[in-house]
Amino acid sequence: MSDKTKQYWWLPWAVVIALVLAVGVVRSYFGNWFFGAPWSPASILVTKVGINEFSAGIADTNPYWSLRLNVFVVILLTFVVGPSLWVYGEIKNQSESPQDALKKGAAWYIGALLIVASLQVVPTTVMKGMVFQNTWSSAEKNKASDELRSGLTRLGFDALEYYYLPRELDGGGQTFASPQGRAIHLTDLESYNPDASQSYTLATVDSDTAIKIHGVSNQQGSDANFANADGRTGRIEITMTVTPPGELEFTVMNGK
Amino acid sequence: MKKIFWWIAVGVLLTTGSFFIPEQTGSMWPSVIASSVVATSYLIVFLAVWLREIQSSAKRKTVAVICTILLVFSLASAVISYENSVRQRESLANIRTHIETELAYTFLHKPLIKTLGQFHADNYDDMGNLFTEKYDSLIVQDSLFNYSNSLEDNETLYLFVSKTTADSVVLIGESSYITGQHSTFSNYSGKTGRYQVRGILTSKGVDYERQN
Repeated sequence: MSDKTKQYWWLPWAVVIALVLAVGVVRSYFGNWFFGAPWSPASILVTKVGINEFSAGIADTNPYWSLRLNVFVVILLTFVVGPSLWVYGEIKNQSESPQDALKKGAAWYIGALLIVASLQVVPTTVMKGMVFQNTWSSAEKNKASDELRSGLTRLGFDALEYYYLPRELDGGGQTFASPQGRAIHLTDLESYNPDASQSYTLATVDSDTAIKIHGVSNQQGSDANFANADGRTGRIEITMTVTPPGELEFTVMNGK
Repeated sequence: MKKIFWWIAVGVLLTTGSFFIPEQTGSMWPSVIASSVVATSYLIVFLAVWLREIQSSAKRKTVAVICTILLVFSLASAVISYENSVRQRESLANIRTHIETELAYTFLHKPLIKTLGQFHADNYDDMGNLFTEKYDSLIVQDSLFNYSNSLEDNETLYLFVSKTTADSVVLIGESSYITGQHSTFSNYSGKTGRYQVRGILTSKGVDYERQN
């Protein structure tokens, strides 16, 4: 190997990196062909089937050949063809002692190009890890909000029932304020469970025809300093207003 | 040296076979996992055999380190993608189930509570008659209760007026999306094993229960 070849050992790699970047830019104009992360299309396919099942009620059996072939080709190029050609190129070059640093042979260039392109897996995995964490933490909060709304709905219908039932049937007889000599309590509502994971508090009852119930989740909401109705701070809170014969109205006080 | 091309050919054949042997419908993961295991095994064996043919120690180390990085990050990426897809699908199914159960609860309660309110406020003596008067236009095909627009093509939640008497009204909510607790349960619509709830209105209020 000549001194010049030794001095410019990095030149072929610079060419390969430039080629990968150029191919990446061109590829971005021609649709979503995944490289460096063959698992992403598999994940996308499962999500697609899940969404179809979500909207249509039945699982989708479409084979999605384009995504499948994409994954197959990428696995083949990443783990079989790329590294093999690179190693072959290195072995071949040491026997031929090229005088020009750039003369590495087609096999070396193809192998090195595939390897460099495959190394996209490093930054994409780091990104994926962070997105994964954020996505599922947000999903937990959504779930908590849904559970809170669900609990409030049950209390809301119980409150309506209580309002409409006559006093002799342990109802309010068309009032919330003083049906039994006292205002309605949460314990008057069948669905109220003081041991539930969410906490519910009834705002001071000062009207015959309207009550407000605050639901507070254990999950942190968007405003960490929000003063929750149950004395805690920063939790997700939804307030429900019950005004018979109107609909149950929900107001998000501290969202996810 | 030509032997290396036989290695590549065998690697390609084994990876292709392992990808296309699993069924090619539904989830892609069986194909992806099988072919990834075969392809990465090929790479490890290939490197174990051919790396020693590279005379320069620095180049040998470079190839080994880069291939190790590739394998480690690919494994991490695969685990994240797999976990993500499993959670995504489960989450969508859970959300749909939650929506459907909440709709069933709300759509069964709303008309019954409204009937209860009017029954006591106006001192009616026939609850069934009152309910039928209020909602007659929504009761179609004998007992299908179109309160939730369940006649729309893509609806999976159906409400039925099961019984109306002077003392009670019984509504049934049935989902063709949610699987019930017992696969042999006979649903109101004639289907089997689907989620079913029942709301019974009497002068004392609404009793709500999951039947399957």
